[in-house]
Parts: sequence; C-alpha cells; structure tokens
Amino acid sequence: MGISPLTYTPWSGTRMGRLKNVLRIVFEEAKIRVTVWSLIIILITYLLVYINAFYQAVRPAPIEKYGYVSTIGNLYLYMMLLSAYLAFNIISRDLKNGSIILYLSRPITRIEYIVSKFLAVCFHLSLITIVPLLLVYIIDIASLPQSSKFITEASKLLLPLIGSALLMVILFGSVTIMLSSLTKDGKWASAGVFGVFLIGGFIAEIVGSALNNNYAYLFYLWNSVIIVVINMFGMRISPRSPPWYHLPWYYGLSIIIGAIVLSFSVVYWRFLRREGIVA
Amino acid sequence: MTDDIILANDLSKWYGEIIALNRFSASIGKGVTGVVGPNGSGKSTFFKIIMGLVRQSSGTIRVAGEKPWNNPKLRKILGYVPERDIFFPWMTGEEFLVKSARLSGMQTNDAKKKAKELLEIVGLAEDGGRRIYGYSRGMKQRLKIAQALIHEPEIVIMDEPMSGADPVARRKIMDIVHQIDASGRCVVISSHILYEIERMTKNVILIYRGWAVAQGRVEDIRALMNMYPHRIRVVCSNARDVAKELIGMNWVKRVGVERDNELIVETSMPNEFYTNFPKFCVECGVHVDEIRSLDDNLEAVFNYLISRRLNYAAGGERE
Ligand SMILES: Nc1ncnc2c1ncn2[C@@H]1O[C@H](COP(=O)(O)OP(=O)(O)O)[C@@H](O)[C@H]1O
Ligand SMILES: [Mg+2]
Repeated sequence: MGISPLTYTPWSGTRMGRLKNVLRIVFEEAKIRVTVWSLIIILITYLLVYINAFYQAVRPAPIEKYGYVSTIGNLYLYMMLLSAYLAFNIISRDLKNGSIILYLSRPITRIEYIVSKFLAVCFHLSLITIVPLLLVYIIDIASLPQSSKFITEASKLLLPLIGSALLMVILFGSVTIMLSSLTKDGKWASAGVFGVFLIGGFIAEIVGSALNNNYAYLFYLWNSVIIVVINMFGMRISPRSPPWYHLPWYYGLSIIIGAIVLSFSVVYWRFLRREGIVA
Repeated sequence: MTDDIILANDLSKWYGEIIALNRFSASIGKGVTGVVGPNGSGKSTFFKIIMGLVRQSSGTIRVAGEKPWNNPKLRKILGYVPERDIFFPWMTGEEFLVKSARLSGMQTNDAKKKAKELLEIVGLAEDGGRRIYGYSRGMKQRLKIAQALIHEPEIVIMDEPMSGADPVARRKIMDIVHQIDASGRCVVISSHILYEIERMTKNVILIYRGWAVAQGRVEDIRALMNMYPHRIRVVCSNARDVAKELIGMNWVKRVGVERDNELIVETSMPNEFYTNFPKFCVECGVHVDEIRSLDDNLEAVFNYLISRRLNYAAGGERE
C-alpha cells in the first residue's frame, strides 16, 4: 500500500472527448439534484397536470378545443417553482461550497461546466413539461372517440405540444443558470426566478391597462410563450382570449430568444470575462 | 534549464488596485519545493495561476512546458489541494472521492477502487462512510489531499495543507508528502511557517508582497535571516550593570535598558548570542529570569530582506 510510483508520461493518455465530459457531469448532477424536494415538486406537478387534463377531458372533445393552452399555462407556474429550487442549488451552491474549484481544477473547461449545468437543469425541467404533456396527450387520444377527423386534429397537436415544452425548458433553463451563477447565496437566485417570471406580469398588467396598449403585455414572458405557441405552432385557443394573444409570433419569439441570449451573455461574462468566480 | 517543471517569469497579478504578485520569478523542479511567506503575500495566487484558475496580468508561466490558462489537458497531470474547502458537505468522504475521480475521467469502478486505496493512504479508512459535514478540520485537509492524488497526477500543488490541522493530521500530512516525493513526483507546498516546511524539504522559495525574495536551500535562507538584526528581551536582576558588560561583546550590537530588570539586546548574530550568553551569565554572576526573541515572525525578516533588495536595486548601500 502506498502512493504508486510515477508511471505517467505527459500527454500519452487518451484525450477525453468534450461530449463525454459533459455527459458525465450531467449524469452526476442529475443524480444529486433529484432530492426529496425536487421529487415533491415533480409529483405535485404531475398531479395537477392530470387534474387539469381530467377537468378538460370531461368536457366534450377537448382536443378540438383549447384544453392544452390552460395545461401549458399551469406548467409555466410549476416550472417556476422547480426553477427556483434548481437556481438555489445548481451553481450557487458550488460557489458557496467552493466545489466549483473541484470542477475547474480538473480537465474540464468552463464552457463544459456551464453547458453541463444547463443540460442538467433542462433534464429536470423536462421531467415536468415534455413528459406530462405527452402522457396527457396519449391518455386523451386513447380515451376519446376515434374518428378520422379526430386523428388529423390530434396529429396536428403534437408539434405545438413538443415545441412549446422545448421552448419553455430552454427559456427557464437559461434564466435559471444565469441567476444561479450570479450569487453564492441561493435564496437570491430563487427570488430572482420569481422576479424574472412574475414581475413582468405586474408591469404588463399596469402599463398595458393604463395605456391600453397590447404590446406592453410582451413584458410578461408567459405572454410571449403563448403568442409563439398559438401563432407559430398553431395551437387553438378560445375566441374569448385576450387580444394580445394575437400579436405576431415573431414578437414573442424575439423576446424569448432575447432573454436566452441575454442569460448566456451574463453567464459568459461571469465565467470567462471575469475569473473572479474562483478567485 | 530543462529540469524545470514549473517556470514563472516576471509574473504579475492585479486584483483591481491590489497587486497580489509583483514580477514574481521562480523555477521549480522535481521533488518537494516549499513556498513560504506571510499571509497575503501571494502564495495562493501563484498556485491558482499554475492551476489555470486565474490568469496572470503580465509575465509568463509554463507548467510542464504548457500555458496553464484554458488548458484542460494540463490539468490531467496536476493535482490541487486548494486553500479553501471544496466539498459537497452532504456526501460521504468516499462518495466525494469517487466523484472527483469521475470528473477526471476515470471509470466508476476504477474510481471506487482508487478511492478506497486513498482513504487508506490518508488515514481516513474508517471515516470514509461518514458525511463530510461531520469531519474535523484535519480530516477535511486529508480528504482534500486524497482528492488531489486520486488521478495519479505528476505535479501536486498543495496550498497550506497543514493549516488548522491537529498534530496527528500534521504528522500524517508530512508523511504523505514524503511518500509523494518518494514516488518521483513534483510537489509544491505553501506555508506561512518556515519550520513546518523545513521538515519536508530543504528547497524553498520565499515570497513576500508578491515578490520572490529568495530561492534556495533552507540553510542559506536561515543564514540570510540570521543577518537580520535580531532583538531579544532579557529579564534579569541588575539590568543596568549587565548592559554595561554586554555592550563590550562582539556578538552584541546595541543594548537598551527598558526597566530596572529588563533589557532589549540587539544582535546581528543570534546564533552567537544564544551560544555565548549563558556562559556570559555564569561568568558575571547574573541571574536570568527570561530570554525571549522579539522577532520570531517571518514578517519582520521579510521586511528587512525586501529593504535590502530595494537598496541594492537603487544602488544604495549594501551591508
Ligand atoms: N479575489 C481577490 N480579490 C481581491 N484581492 C485579492 C483576491 N485574492 C487575493 N487578493 C489579495 O491578493 C493578495 C495575495 O493574496 P493570496 O495570494 O491569497 O496570499 P496568500 O495565499 O499568500 O495568503 C492579498 O493582498 C489579497 O488580499
Ligand atoms: Mg493563501
């Protein structure tokens, strides 16, 4: 027993692939972050999504109607909860514990670290979006009367469902990573999640109703999401829905892409422009 | 020299207005090298630059011939014991080691085997299954060392591994450093206490306010330090008369009487003083209650060394 004698000759080892590196960290992260709290949030989400779906299902022919918009609206709230939990943990905790140095003193680049953390967050968010949406969709199809009209209607829904879920996962994932990298005190990162995803709602309500201007509602990220889901992916909505739901899809999409780009720019600045994150 | 594994040339690093490294130059080869300097002198900054965690503001650094910044493949042959904690406190020691190994690209099975082996080496075999938040300071230090060795690095950088460790852990850590040295690796280890380093290596770099003040063998540095006017407080009977006698001795530079029973002796030959003073006391019949050095701290010595170097650089007087 003892420290084995030096056998290593420099650079002779196999070069680790970047992708392998990233996948390894994502796997490690996914393992750790599924703790009691995240499980509770995920379980509650599933329950609520099914209750919502059931409520929609008892009404006639929900697929041809607009049940999914309200399901996606609920998901926006649950994702906010899970994002707040993840923001508390994902990078803030590494900054607080100093474990970021453990990653960065190993053969891992800063970009690999960020991408892995982002993918780990996306993995968790997918558990409460894409998976329940598809489950509800399958249950709906199986439980409703099968007709050729129904089949074409139902197949048209698949793209909007997956598209809107992916869009929300990437949006929430990047904002979560950004907020978590900004502070070592996780509770500020969590508070930030509610700030980003809710405060816009208040601004939109106040400015929008005061000026009677539909564009003001774009402040609320949910409105941007739903504008894309309806006008780009072609999800059906109730005719009584608010007028700003009918703004052109590229307005909503630009706001969402803007938020994602801004988030990654902040993370880039935090990790690569300034090394202060480890000093 | 081709033997140099780490080569720093005119390395400077600013944190805003604060200068942490100031045209620091050093070369480090195989074996154990100590980096010694008081707190805030730039030891950790130098190590962070070696690890590629921080980028220098100016100057060059080569580790195994490579630039460390943004160079992940270099970190395959580097092991790092950071100053601060890097743990996931909810993990057990063993889980933490396995995760560290995984991050270095090891397979889970190899990682588990290696983790057990290293827990044994650092003396944590019994505590490997306990959660890290319950560990003592000394145990955490040893776990950090295990983490740094798990991927069998060629160069091991240890930032104050002894700090806060209890005597048992200290012994263990020294023992590990000797083992790493014996296995043919390069070890760089920092401390603010010279005697601690002396027990592990003869080869030291003195750093003060970001300067490499001196590099060489401990004996040479000790000799340099002995040239520094050393002040010693002597508590004895009849201080005034003793002072008169002492001033005639060639191993005494100056004597000041503080109180009736207290003297401050200044000498540039502390070794001579400590060998001759007892003899002197016997000859003169002086009863001594206490002898205490006032300049044991490195900081005073460093200040002195720096001022000598500055004088020298400015063409001023040399001693
Ligand atoms: N992230 C930082 N921001 C500002 N100043 C720093 C930072 N890190 C270190 N310093 C300063 O740089 C100097 C050297 O610090 P350090 O390398 O930690 O010294 P040592 O490890 O020898 O105690 C100190 O004056 C310290 O205050
Ligand atoms: Mg330090």
